[in-house]
Amino acid sequence: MCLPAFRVNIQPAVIKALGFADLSRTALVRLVAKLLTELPGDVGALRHRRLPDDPDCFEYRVAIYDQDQPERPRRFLFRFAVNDTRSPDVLFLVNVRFSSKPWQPEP
Amino acid sequence: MTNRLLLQRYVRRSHLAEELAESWREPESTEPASPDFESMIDECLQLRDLTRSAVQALLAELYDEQLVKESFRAEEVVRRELSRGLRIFALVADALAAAGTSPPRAEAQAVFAAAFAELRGYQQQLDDALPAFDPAIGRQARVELERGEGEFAEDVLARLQSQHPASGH
Repeated sequence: MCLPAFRVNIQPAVIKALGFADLSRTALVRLVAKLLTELPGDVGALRHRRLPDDPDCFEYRVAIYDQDQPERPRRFLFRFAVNDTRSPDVLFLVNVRFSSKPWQPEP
Repeated sequence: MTNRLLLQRYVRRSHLAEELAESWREPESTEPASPDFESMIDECLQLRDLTRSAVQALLAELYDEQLVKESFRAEEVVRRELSRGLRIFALVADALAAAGTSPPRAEAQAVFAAAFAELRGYQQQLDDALPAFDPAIGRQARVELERGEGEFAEDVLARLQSQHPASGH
């Protein structure tokens, strides 16, 4: 059986909200790369985590360490609302929320 | 799996504390000299300690690049048991208040009140780490979705990678 190859489509409102996280460019690249490469493979395991307020979506979480701003290294948790009902082969990111906390990298 | 064991202990302790709290409210139990009084407070403090460990373990998992995807189950358990813990503490607080104040009771009440505040603080920490989605972003994204304005992740990535490093942080 051949599993569908999902593509990940990000809405401009989500891209704009990501900007407020004030991630370094390197960390932002890593975040988008994770969405591109890991989200499609995780769909099977996580799509049952439906959002109560929007059952067309499931929740997807990504943690990122941002150590490229040496004056304030931080850990980020991003939570995405992923619509997987609109298309059989495209995952639409339709909301995001993040939180962060200071990170003390290992010396 | 340390966290799984911790969560199992947490759930067991929380259920036990709930049973104790429910059966504790007999008038003689709430007397400050009663062994039940001491053990109920002690039970609450132990539940507070387990809550602290469980919340800290969950927060560590949420911000861990490798473990975050496994965090849903732990979050479900911790939220449910924390909610139960707050109910238990509220019940004990009511019984303590009804019992009135005297020196031994006042000291126990102060210790208990600090533990109750700590428990509420853990609830706040969870809410801060896992805030609700902003409906305004969802509404805007839905409009954009209808208009087909989304960008594929590979295109966003290519755009970011092509930007000059100096243009970012």
